Amino acid sequence: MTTSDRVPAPRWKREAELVSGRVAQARSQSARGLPVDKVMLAIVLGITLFGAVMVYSASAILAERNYGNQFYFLGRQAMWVVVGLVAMAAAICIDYRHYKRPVVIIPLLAGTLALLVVVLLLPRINETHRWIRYGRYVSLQPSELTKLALVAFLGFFLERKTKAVESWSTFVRAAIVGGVLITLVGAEPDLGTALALGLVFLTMMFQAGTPVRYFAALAIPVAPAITYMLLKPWRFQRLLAFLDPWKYQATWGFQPVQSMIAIGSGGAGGVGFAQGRQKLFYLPAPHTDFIFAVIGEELGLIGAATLVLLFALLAWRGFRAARFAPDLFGQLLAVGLTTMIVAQAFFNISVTLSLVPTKGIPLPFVSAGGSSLAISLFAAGVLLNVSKHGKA
Amino acid sequence: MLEEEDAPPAQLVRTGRASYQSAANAMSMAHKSSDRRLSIIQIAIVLWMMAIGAKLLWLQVKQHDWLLTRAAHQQQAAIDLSPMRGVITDRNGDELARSVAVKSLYASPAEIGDASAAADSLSDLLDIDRDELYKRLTSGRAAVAVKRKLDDDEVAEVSKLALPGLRFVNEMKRFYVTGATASHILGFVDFDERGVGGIELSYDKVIRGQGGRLLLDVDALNKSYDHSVEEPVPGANVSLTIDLMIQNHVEKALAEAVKSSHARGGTIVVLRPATGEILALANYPSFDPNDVSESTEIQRRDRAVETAFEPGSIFKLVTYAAALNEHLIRPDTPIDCGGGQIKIADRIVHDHPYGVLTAAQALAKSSNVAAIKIGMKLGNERLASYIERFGFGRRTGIELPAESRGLFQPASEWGPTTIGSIPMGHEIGVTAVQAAAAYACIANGGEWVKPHLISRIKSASGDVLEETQPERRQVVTEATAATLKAMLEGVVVQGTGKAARLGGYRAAGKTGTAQKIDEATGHYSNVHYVASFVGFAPVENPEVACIVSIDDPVGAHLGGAIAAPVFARVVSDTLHQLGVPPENDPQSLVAGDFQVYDLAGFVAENQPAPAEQSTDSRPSLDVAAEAPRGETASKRYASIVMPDLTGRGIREAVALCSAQGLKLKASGDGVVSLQSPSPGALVSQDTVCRVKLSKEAVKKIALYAAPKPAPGDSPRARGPRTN
Repeated sequence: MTTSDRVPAPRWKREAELVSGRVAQARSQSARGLPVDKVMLAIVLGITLFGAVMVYSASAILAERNYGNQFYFLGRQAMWVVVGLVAMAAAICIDYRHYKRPVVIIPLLAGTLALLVVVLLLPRINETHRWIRYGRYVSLQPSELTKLALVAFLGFFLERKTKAVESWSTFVRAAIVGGVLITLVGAEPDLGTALALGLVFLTMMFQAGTPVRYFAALAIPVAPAITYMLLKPWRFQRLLAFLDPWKYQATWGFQPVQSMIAIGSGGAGGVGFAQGRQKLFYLPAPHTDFIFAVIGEELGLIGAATLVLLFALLAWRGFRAARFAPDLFGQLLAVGLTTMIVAQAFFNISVTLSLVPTKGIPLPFVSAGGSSLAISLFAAGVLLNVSKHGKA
Repeated sequence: MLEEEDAPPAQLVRTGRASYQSAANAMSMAHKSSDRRLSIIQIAIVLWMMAIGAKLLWLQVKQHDWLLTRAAHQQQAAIDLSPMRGVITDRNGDELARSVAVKSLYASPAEIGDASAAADSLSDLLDIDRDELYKRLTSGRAAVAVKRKLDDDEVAEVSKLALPGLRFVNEMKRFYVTGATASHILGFVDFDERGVGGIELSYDKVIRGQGGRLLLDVDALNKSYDHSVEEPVPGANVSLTIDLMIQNHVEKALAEAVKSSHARGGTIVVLRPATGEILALANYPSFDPNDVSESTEIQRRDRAVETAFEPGSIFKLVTYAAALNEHLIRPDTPIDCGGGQIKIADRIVHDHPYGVLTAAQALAKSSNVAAIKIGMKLGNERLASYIERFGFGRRTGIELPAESRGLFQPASEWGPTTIGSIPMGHEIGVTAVQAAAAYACIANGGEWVKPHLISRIKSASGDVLEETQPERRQVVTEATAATLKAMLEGVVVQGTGKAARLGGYRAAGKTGTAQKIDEATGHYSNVHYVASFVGFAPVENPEVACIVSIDDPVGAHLGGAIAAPVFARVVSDTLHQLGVPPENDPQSLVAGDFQVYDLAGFVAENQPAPAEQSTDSRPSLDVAAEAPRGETASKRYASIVMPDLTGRGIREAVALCSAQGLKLKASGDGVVSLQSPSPGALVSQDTVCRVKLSKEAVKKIALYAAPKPAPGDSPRARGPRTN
C-alpha cells in the first residue's frame, strides 16, 4: 500500500472538502458521490451536435447523388446519436467499478478476441475485414469494441498488479494481450485504429507506472512489423507521398493535397457553412474521415481551432476525472478513455493536415458512422461516471 | 490551463492529507510518480495540439492565397471569351469594322451522356470532323469547344437537338461592315480576334481590349453546377482619316484602271497635303476581310506601303526641288538636252531627242538628260541629302504594319554611274506613300507632313485617348515649292501629264514610267513597266495629293496614258466630295500662267477642256455640306425599292443593302428596330440607309415573329470553318 499524499485537487474543492470532509467520509468509505462533470458533458454534447450538422453539410450532395436524399446521412447520424446518447446515459448511471469484476472483463476480452478472429474469416467488405454485418442495417466493427476491451482489461489487470507494476512479467503479460488485440486490428487491416490502440496501451502502461525503459523492449516486435509493412511498395510510396504530397498529388498525395486545399482555402473565416466546394467529390470521404477538412474550409481557422480546443478541453476534464478517481482502476479507465478519444481526434485532424501519413480513422463524435459514434458516446458516458467519483 | 492544478501549495497538501488519510486504505492508489506521469501525458497532448494549431495557421493564413488559387484552379474551368474589339470608323463616323455577338457551342464531356451519338449528330449538323469532335467529347476536361462562332441557323438547329451537356457561350466576331472596301487599311483578325493585318494588327493592343472568361464551377467529376462571367473589357474605338465615299470611288477607279490596262495590280493613295491625313488608300487586287481564308497572299499585300518600286520620272521632283532650293536653276534656265544622249562614266543614257529646253520644259517633257545634268550639278552628296529630307529611304511612320523603307543607299555607296540613274528615278526604290508624301510636301509649301491614317482613338466610354498630331518638317523653302508647283502644273497643262487635267480645278503633277527589272535577266525590261502619276490639286491651295501607280500594264504603258486619267478621275471626285468649289475657267488661267516659262510653242497643245466637263454638275459648297453625302452624284437613278430590314441582324441587313447597292449606317446592338428610308421607298444607288439596332427588338422577334427562313435559304457557305 502506497501513500497518496500528493494527489492534488483545486483549492476551492479542497477547501470545500475540508468543511464537508467528515460528512463525505461518513457517506462512503471508499468514494464520494459528486455530481457528473457538467463541463465535460457539455463539451461532448456540443461536439456531437456540431458533428451532426457538419455531417449534413459534408454529405448532402453525396447523399443526393448516391441515395437521392440529401438527408440520408444526417438521418442515420441522428439515429446513431440517439442510440449513443442512450448508451451514454446508461453508462453515466452504471458505477464504473462494476466493470472491474472478472465476470465482466473476461467475457468482454474473450468476446472481442473472438469477433476479431471471426471478422478476419468473413468475406471482405470494401476490401477489408472490418465489418460484421447482419442484414442490411446492422453492422459492427470489432475494432470499435476492441478500444473498450483494451482499456477495461488494462485497467483491471494493472490495478490487480499494482504492487508488481514495475516487474517484467506484468509488462510482458499486458503487452501480450495488448499486442494480440492490436495485431488483430492491424490485420483487418485497420492501421489507424491499431495505432490509436497502441497509443492507448502506451499511455495506460505509462500512467500505471511501468518503468520507461521497458518500453524500449517494444521495439523488438514493432520494428520488424514496421519493416515488413514498408516492404510493401505501395506503403513506401505512401510514405514518400506523405513527405511531399504535392509531388504525388495525382496519386498517393491526392487525399492530403485535396484536404490541405480545402482547409487552406477556408482561410481565417471560412467560405461559409455549406458553401464548401472541396466536398464536391474532391475530398475523399468528406463526411467521415475528412470531415475536419470540410470544417476547415467552411468555418475557417475560427471553426477548426475551436473544435481542436474543445477536444483539448475534453482531455483536460478527462484527466481531471482521472486525478480525482478514487481507485487506480478508475484512474486508468479515465486516462485510457480520454486518450482513446483525444488521440483519435488529434490523429484524424493530423491526417487532414498532413502532419501524419494518411490513415483512415474517424473523428470521434463528429464523423458520420454508426457504431463508432455510439461507442465513443458510451466511452464518454463511462468517463463521465468516473468523474462522479471523487476521493473521499 | 491544463497545468493549473499541478502544483498545489505544500501546506494545503499537508493539511488535506489528514482528511484523505482515512479513505486511503480503501484506495489501491498508484505509485508515487502517478501524478507526474499524468502531467507528462497532458504536456504531450498540449504539444500535439500546438502542432495542429501551427499547421492550421500555416495553411489557413500563410498559404491561404496560394491554396485558394489552387482550389480555384481545380474547381473552375475557364472558357476564354474573345474580346470585344473597338469599332473602326472613317472620318465621318461611319463604321468600317465592328464586333458582333455570335454564339459558340461548348460541351461538358461529363454531362454529355452518349458521346458517340452526340458526335454523330453535331458533326453532321455543324460540318466538323466527327472523330476530332468525339475525341474532345470524351476527354477529361470540364468544358470543350464543339464549334465556335456559329451562325444563326446552326444555333437554331443545335437548340432543336436539345442534347444534354451543351452550352452556348456569347462571343464576339469581327465584322467588316463595308466588306472588301478599305480592307488593306483595316486588315483582318484571326479566329481568336487577334489583329493580323492593317490597323487591326498595328493597333491591336489598343483595339483589342481584354478577353473575358466564363468560369464554370465544376466538381471533381467535371460536372458544372454554377458559373460566373468575367466580362470582357471592350477595346478602344479608332477613327480613321479616310473617307468611306472617297475610298469607294478610289477603289472603283483603280479596279477599272487595272482591269482595262490588263495590269498586274495597282495602288492609289489620296491624302490632304496640309494635314497628312490619308483620305483613301487602295490596292488592287484586294480581298474581303470577312473571308480572309479565301484570299491569296498577293490580294492581301498592301502595295502602297509594303512594296517599293523604282519610281522613274516622278522622282525627278526631288532632283528639281533640290536644284531650285540650292538656286542652281530657275524655271527658265536653259538646259541642253544633248539630242537625247548623255555619257555617264562609260555608260550612255538614251532619251528623247530634245535640244535646248528651259528647266520647266525639261520637267514637263520629262527629259532624262536634263534631270541627269541637274543631278550632276547638285553632286552626289547634295542630291542624297535632299532625297533623305523628302523622306525616302526610311519609313514614313504611317500606322500600317510591314511598311517598307524603300531602297536607297547613302551617297558614299554610290557607284560612278549612279548619278546617271537616281535623278531620273532609277536605282532607288520608293513606296507609293513616300512618293505621295513628297508631292504633298511641295503642295504644302515645302513642309513635309507625316502621312497618317488614324485621326483619334477613343476609349469605349468615349474619352479621347489619343489625337494624332502629325510630325512636320520644312524640306524646301516656300519659294522653291511655289516655283515647283507652277512647273508641275506645266506637266499637266503642256507636258506628259495632260490626261491628268481636271475639269474645274487646276492640277499639277508628274508622270512616271519606270522600266521594271526583268527577274529572268536582271536587266531593265522593255515590256514590263510601272506607270505612275502623282500630283495635287487645286494648284493654288492644294486640298488633295494623289498617287496612282499601275503595275505592269499590258499594251499602253506610259504613266501619262495609264495613270494620269485615273488621277484626274479620282482627284476630281475627291474634290467634289470634299466640297472644294471649282474655279471658273481653270484652263485659261493655267495657260496664262504657263506662258511665262514658254520657249517653244506649247500653247497650241493647250486644248480647252470639253465644255461638258467644266460645267459638270458641281455642287456649290453649301449644297455639298447639306446634302447627305453620296446622294449628289446619282440622284437620277432613284429606282431601287428600299428593302425591309426590321428584325434582321446587322450582317443580314448589310447583305441585303449591298445587294441593292445601298450603303448602311448602323448604330446600336441587336437587330434592326428602326430604318430610314422606310421599307418600300424608292431610293437611288449609294443612298445611305440609317438603321437603329436594339436588343429589345430581339426579344420581340423571338416572341412574335415568324420563324426564320429555312436553313437552305440563308447562305451558310461562308467558306470552310474550322475550330
